[in-house]
Amino acid sequence: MAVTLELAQVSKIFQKDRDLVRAVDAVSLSVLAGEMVTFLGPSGCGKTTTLRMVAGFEIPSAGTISIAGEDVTNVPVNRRDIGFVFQNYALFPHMSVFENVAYGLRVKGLSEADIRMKVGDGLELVGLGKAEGRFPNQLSGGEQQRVALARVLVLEPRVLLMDEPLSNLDAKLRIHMRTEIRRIQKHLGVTCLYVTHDQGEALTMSDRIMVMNRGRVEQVGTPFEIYSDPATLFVADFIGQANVVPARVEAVNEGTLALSIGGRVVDVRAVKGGSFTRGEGAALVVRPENLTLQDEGEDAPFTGTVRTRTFLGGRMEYEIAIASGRTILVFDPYRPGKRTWSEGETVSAAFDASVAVALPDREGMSS
Amino acid sequence: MSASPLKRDPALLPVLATIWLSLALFVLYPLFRLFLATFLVNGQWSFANLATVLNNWFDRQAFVNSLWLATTVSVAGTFLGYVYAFAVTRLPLPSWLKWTLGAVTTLPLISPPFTSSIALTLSLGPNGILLKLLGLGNFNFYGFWGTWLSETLTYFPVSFLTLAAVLSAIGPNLEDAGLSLGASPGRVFRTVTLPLSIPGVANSLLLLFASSLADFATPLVLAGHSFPVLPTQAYLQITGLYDLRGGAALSFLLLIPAVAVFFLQRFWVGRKNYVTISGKTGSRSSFKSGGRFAEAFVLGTCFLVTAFILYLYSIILLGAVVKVWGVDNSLTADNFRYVFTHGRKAITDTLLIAAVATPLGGLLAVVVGFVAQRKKVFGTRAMEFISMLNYALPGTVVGIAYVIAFNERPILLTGTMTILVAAYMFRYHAAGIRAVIASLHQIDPSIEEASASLGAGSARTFFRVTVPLIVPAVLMGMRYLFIHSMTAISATIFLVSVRWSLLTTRILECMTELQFAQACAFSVVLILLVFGATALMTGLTRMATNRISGEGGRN
Repeated sequence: MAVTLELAQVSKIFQKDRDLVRAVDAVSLSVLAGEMVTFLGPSGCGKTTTLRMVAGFEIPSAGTISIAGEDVTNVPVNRRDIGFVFQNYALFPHMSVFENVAYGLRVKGLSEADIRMKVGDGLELVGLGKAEGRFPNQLSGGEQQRVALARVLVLEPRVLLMDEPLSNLDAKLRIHMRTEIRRIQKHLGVTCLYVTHDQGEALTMSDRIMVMNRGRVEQVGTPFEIYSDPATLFVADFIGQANVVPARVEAVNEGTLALSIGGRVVDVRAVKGGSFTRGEGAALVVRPENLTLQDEGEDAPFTGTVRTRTFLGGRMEYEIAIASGRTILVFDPYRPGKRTWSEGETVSAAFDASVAVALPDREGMSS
Repeated sequence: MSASPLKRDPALLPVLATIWLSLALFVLYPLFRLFLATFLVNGQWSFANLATVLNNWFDRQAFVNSLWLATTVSVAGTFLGYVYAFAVTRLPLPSWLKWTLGAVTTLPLISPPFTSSIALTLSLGPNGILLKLLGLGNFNFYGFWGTWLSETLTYFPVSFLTLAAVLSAIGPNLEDAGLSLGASPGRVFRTVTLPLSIPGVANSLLLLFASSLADFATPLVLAGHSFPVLPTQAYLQITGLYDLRGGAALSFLLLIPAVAVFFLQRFWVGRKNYVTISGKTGSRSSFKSGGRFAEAFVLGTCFLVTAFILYLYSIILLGAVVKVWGVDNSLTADNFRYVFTHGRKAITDTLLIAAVATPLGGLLAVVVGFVAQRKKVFGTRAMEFISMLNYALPGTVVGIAYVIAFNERPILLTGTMTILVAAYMFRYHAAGIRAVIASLHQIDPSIEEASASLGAGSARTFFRVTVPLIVPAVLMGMRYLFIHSMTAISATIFLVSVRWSLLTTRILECMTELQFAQACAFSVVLILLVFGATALMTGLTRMATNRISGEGGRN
């Protein structure tokens, strides 16, 4: 039975030496029943602190947290009915795998037969049916993480909280485990919050992503929205790679803008909810893979010289110095026989109006 | 804050209340009463008691002597400790030799306080065998030299342990760098090794200064009337003259340098530490000589001192099996028969008291250490500080404070077993507290959070998760507590009674009645008991450690 989760204006202020640090600043979020929401951001952005407040390890300085409509802000962690998966697994080193998974069931006072059955089922679910008698330090990192997951899942928590659970695993295992976790989460239909600094993890696993920076929410949206319609320059830069180019607003239309870049005028999408004024500055965001290269052409928005070119197998990466002194990055899919450009050559880059997006230039980068 | 930690953790409040109440009763209250006894004369604040003591030439001399003795012992002991530590950490000795050096230095650490005094008396005192051997007929050994020699031998192992840890933590790359830049081994030692170990040396000086200042047993046997020191003066004032106020004033004088050293160590040396443990250190290169002459000097000193310590212990053993030392050297078992008949009660009492104090003190150490390290509640730092106080103060001070505080209603405890157990618990649980705090530092708090998030309350988390993980540290603390409960004298000499007799006080009685053979026999029995118990607890610690790191290592 999945439940909803609600954060309302949650803040956390730490005392660090003499200064007050706003680790989390007025975060509000509504999570639907059975939804998986990822908290994404650089280290120190407050995502883990937010998750720990939902768990009950930290007490919010302000704001309320509700699970299934019930205010749990002051309920101790052991009565919140949540499951928490730690970055370092936090398995009890002095207990066997079986005892680790049985721990929460014993707290609940289940009969030995029920415990045996549920632990068996839990370990089966994570694919570790035969490891019952072993101890945590006899398991690999991936196996330890599965035990940690099973230990939480056998309790059938109302909310599953995960704090960078895959960051200690090697790259291949990480990719395998993220589909595994997503499969289990969907199978159980449990509401889930997931903290990560890895955008690949966030994009592949989430129903929605909450991007955080310096304790504040930058944007909440589906992976598609976050990628194609970044609400702020921070989001544009943090998710994937993005060329951010200063431009001037020439005309404001319904949902689109005419921007002038280095004397050429192009049509681009305006970001949702952004307000633009004719004659003022705006930031054009276009991703490297959405730029197409051609030999020098009159109508292309960018023209410059190739500074570096790097062959990456599947694609070519070009750094191009454009007129204003900036460099832009272009990814060009490679196949044998295709035209490539060498360092020092002049080249033009163009893009489709639908793939670029304009943001209000709050940070004053065009000045 | 919408909720304090106290509200969220209902078990915390009664635990905190219990700790504070017991600390108030057995640490703060006695010290407060000692303070009152010193400064309150006929209901008036007065320096009269202190003035009496300071105007007495003999007492003033005792104060000066105490400081002088502590200074010379700390310098000599630290030097010896440094030499030993250098030999073990820097010289290319075979490992069995290093082990022997380390093992011999632990002997004085776990022996009763009289051991070296008795052995030295038998060798260098009247009729001493070394005196006869060297043909020094009327050498007067009692006084400063005897006390100094005995205390240096007893306390230098503390310095050795401190400095060996510091020296082995200095990255070998630093010394290799010095050598590769063209410096001679002697120059590297002077410009790299020594400066880096200065904080350790300072720490060792302070530790030894405090130990010597507080030492009661050695000067009682060896100092004699010509070289009075404060702990023995305070003792004689109380037991000889029944002058509790004079004793209180003397112990207050003793308190001042002791507290000064405690603060220096905690707030000055404790913060200075050059030694950094980096991830990559590389191994110590084996081809590294400190220069032929220096090496010979270090090794020679170690061998001489080691041989002398072994000699002293064999004297004790020999002294226990001969009839009259130096007069009738025929073998006999009478002395041990005496110990097991007349001394039987002392043996059982000592064991019983140690056996009661050890688990209770261990439990207290766990709870105090856990609250101090894990619970961020107002006053935990003060709590940790106060719980270390009885340990930091000289035993004589604690003993006199206990006598003053618990000699009358409302808390009449003198003559009971409770007062002895309490004195041991609140004095020697300090090592356990330190070990528990250090061990909790190693355990990621997420292990306990995991338990809470799985639904366990704080009591269940504590007993099922935290305690099993810190068992090795607790056992180590309990071993320390047991050894010292068996061998303590300075505080307990004031607290023993007709009803409770202790091995250490029996040894002292034998010494004052010149029954050296019986004193030796008691010492041998006590050393064997302590060795047996130590071996047992070391075995238990090792088992507990293996259980955790062998089958379920920390992540």
